[in-house]
Amino acid sequence: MTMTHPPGLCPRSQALAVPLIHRPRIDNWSTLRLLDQHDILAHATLHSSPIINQSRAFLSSHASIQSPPKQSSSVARRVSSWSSDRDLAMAGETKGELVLLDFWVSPFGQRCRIALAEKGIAYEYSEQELLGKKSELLLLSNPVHKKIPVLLHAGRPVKESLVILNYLDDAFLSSPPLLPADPYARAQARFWAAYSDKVYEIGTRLWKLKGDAHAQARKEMLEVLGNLDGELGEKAFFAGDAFGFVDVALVPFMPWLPSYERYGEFSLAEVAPRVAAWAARCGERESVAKSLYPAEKVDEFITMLKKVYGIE
Amino acid sequence: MSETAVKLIGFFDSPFAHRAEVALRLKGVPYELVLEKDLGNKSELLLKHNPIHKKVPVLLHGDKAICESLLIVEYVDEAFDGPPLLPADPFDRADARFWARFLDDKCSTPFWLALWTEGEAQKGFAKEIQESLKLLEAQLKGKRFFGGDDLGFLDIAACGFAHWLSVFEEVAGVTLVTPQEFPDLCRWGKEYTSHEIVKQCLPDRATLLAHFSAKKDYFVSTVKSMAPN
Repeated sequence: MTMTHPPGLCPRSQALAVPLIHRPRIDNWSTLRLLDQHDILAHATLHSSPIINQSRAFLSSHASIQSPPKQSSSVARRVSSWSSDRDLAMAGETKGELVLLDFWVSPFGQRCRIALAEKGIAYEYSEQELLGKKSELLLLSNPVHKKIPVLLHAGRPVKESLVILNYLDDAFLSSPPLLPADPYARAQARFWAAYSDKVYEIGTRLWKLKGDAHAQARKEMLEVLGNLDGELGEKAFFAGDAFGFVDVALVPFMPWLPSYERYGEFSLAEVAPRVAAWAARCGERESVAKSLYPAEKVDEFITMLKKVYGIE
Repeated sequence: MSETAVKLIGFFDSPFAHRAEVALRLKGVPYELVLEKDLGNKSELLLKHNPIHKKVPVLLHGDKAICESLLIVEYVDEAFDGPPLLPADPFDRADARFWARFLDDKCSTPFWLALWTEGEAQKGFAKEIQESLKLLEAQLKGKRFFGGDDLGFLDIAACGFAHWLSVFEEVAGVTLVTPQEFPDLCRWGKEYTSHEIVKQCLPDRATLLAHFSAKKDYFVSTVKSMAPN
């Protein structure tokens, strides 16, 4: 609801204005919304089934290569007639059980996986079907956005990756905190973690759009990476010596960078050399190494999405 | 820390700056309000302290600058004593943050487009914002405020839909929210705008109306580059 700012209505991002110009004519106004987090795959249901089947084949073949995190089949079996919060509460067997509804390649889900690992908190991972029909559990847990990640804690859903990260610090006080203690440092961490969302949002435009919109996305990507590089400076991690909130928020986008570099014709090492070094440093941490997929896999996933969208 | 001077850079018409002011006042924190005169020509102070987004509000606490209205509200809650703005329970905190983000990320754009577009596109955006506001309204659950008996984080975040909504509707000649269709939200809006502390930092409605009416052509132009043809 900005009144006096130039086009770019949401105070978060001017970038929203651009994609809407260049979308093809679409009759259904609701598809004009900028796709974020994993809306992308929800829209795949609009497209023809051979592509969905091909995508499913890709995913299932991938899943068998990578040995995915432990499936929550017991949770899946209980999805018989979900009709209320009471049913949802039953999804967490005992008080305190954690279930993460997630999707293997989602960087937003990976933020949560890394955070849970860093904090030493046990949880059940539940891979969600995002192409085709979403599970009743997901739809009940996040009726507003129908997106992952969702963290179910004794059946109560916590949604939005950064909200989940804040929640983990609030709810698990004896685990190592992601956020620093000082209020100003916390405000800075929250600011830069939210800012890091732009990498994914702009990156998506880089592989989806052409022409002027693509050039605009490239320009914005370079600016965002430059700002992140400046903020990191000579520190080992964004908050200083310790791996924390901003690192967890940003690092899942790093396997996407090689694809963005290719689509955007730039080099991370040139544009943001300190971020490039930081990414390598983070990759050595067990929580990160175990949660992220290699860039090649991410690139295959983008290629698959492009087919789903009919993008050349 | 509470002895150090607090300044808030704002702009009179901004609900985002209002969020920051309400938070400071609810906590009883004295502050100096520095108003930008013209957001088309931003001050050195603003650009220095918010180089990334170049937007109001910016909170200056001593030599620290905090940007983004919702982050300012959380900072004020954590840095100063006084009644808590966020609930104590971690799940309720997550819920408040979720809905505040919903407002900024999901409601701003369709709201703006519903005001200034026309025809079928406008109807679509109006439907979208109304559905979103229905979801928000459901969070009231019969309470006086989103925060319960008194104001909390989500009330502050939703301030735009309490005070600015009807002004924009009037300027645009569009009705999005009626008491018949949104009884709880409208009731809440009145509670919010008549709250003794909120009242102290709400911009005058008539002034807002005149100011936005004068900018109507500009608002419509912002949307032309966004909506499909």
